[in-house]
Amino acid sequence: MLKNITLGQYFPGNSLIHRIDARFKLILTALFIAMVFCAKTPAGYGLIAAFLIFVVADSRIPPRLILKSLRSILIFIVFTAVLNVFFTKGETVLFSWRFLTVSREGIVFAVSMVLRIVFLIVGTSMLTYTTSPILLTDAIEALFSPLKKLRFPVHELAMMMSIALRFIPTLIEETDKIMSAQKSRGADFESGNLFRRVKSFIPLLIPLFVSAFRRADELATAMESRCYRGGDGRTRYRVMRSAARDWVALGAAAALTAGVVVLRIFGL
Amino acid sequence: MEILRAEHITHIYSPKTPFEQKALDDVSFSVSPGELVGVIGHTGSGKSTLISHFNGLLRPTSGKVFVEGEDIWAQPKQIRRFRFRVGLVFQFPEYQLFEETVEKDIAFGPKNMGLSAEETAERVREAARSVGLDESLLEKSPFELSGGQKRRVAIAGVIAMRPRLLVLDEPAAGLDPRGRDEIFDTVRAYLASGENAAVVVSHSMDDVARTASRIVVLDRGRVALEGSPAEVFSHRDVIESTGLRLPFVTRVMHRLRDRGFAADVSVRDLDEAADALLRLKGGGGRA
Ligand SMILES: Nc1ncnc2c1ncn2[C@@H]1O[C@H](COP(=O)(O)OP(=O)(O)O)[C@@H](O)[C@H]1O
Ligand SMILES: [Mg+2]
Repeated sequence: MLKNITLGQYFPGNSLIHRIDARFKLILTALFIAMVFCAKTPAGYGLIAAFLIFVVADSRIPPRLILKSLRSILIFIVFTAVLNVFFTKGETVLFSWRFLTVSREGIVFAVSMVLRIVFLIVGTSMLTYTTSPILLTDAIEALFSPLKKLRFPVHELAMMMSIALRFIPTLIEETDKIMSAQKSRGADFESGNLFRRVKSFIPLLIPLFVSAFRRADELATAMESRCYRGGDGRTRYRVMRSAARDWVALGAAAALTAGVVVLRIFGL
Repeated sequence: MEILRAEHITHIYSPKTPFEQKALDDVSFSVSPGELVGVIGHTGSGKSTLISHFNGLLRPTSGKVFVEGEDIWAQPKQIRRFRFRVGLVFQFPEYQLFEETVEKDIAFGPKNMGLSAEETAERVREAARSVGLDESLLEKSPFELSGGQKRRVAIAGVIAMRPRLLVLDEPAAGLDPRGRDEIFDTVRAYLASGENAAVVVSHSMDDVARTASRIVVLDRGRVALEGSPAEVFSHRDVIESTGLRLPFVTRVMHRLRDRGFAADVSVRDLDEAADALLRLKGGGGRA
């Protein structure tokens, strides 16, 4: 039931994209987002689409999975499209009925908005599809570590994030179990009005909180007995090292971004 | 009439995804009044999946489940009715407690059945007594109790619904020997009237050997063996191939037999084993 929700949605593999250093992948994703917002011309969108197709093909992630991640925001996409088609003021009116007008500009704008959303979702989910959540938090910690100089608790935040990620599946499983146990005692999570329904979740939430606190306590004890005391002087099991391919990928993405910007300037 | 009959149950988790897994494969199972059926199997053999079909928590991918002759999935909207007739106690049920007091927690099931306040109070008291909880504990918070007491509160919470079939998933896991015995005593007492039946899941033969009237051995989602404890224990090779162990006393008898003694391998508890050994010694006269 609840287990089917793919969280973190990491899809293990050994492709070029999988092997790129997580820190670089984060920067590449940031560049990609910039690229999407810079694009304005058909050629620009074409370039981004080609790049995405290359990444998806290389990663060997089944396109079906990627479509699934889009399906969950389908309503949002449709909503954006409809809103932009009908409410963009434009010169070349194609169709008009009462307060609704459809202009050429409106359609162009709607299409480009939809393309942007799709690109953003697919592009950023390629990051999470090809990078394990643990590597991702390590990368975030590494990239933000200069903030440590300002006494910003980068390590602690990253640790909290990895612990949270680690326990999400556990909590989902636990929710499933407690729900089954309460249903076995006749609990009804599905019917009744809003008030009754909210109330019916108390038998689920209380045991869930109790067990989350118990787990947190146990984890703290386990960490303390292994002498964990924060980030200072702590060495790593996984040391991140950049390879030539990481720099090549970064260079390629930078060039692509420049290309998109140039296309925009020349209006191609 | 049988209280429960499950016919050719197959269950596939996450069908049509990369995570697809067949947890049960054509399992048939039935329980008659008065019976105490032990379900044993290695971890992951499908025991919990099987019992979750008994009160309709899971719907079989194929196959049918009947409770007192009624097909429980005939009207899926009405499935909740069967939760009161087949009472399921999950593994580590102490984690499901949530009320302010033990009394209220035990009353959760009966209240969901829509019983009157008096009837509920009466059932709570009886259920607490049947699991050996002292009256003085009823007013306490369940979170103040010891682990063994919490478990008994959770079991009382299901017993208070007075189900025809009581199903317990690994009820003895993590308890000390005395706690174990108390749980099994509770189950036997529940069956005393002869109208009810129980299914106890375990991965330990010793627990089930002494109490069960019938044993079903699951292996990778299929029924590997079924029969009286003596019948099941005579198939030492099958049991060991599924990764289980015979009860300790039975293993002793098998070992003696391996060494050329005519030991009785159908024994199921210490007393029977002692008798069998005395017979073996000859004469059986006491020193
Ligand atoms: N909610 C679930 N989703 C997917 N697979 C599951 C789920 N629950 C159990 N399984 C799988 O089904 C098989 C049987 O599990 P289970 O019935 O819990 O076995 P047992 O209780 O005998 O240890 C196992 O391989 C387990 O991994
Ligand atoms: Mg189990």
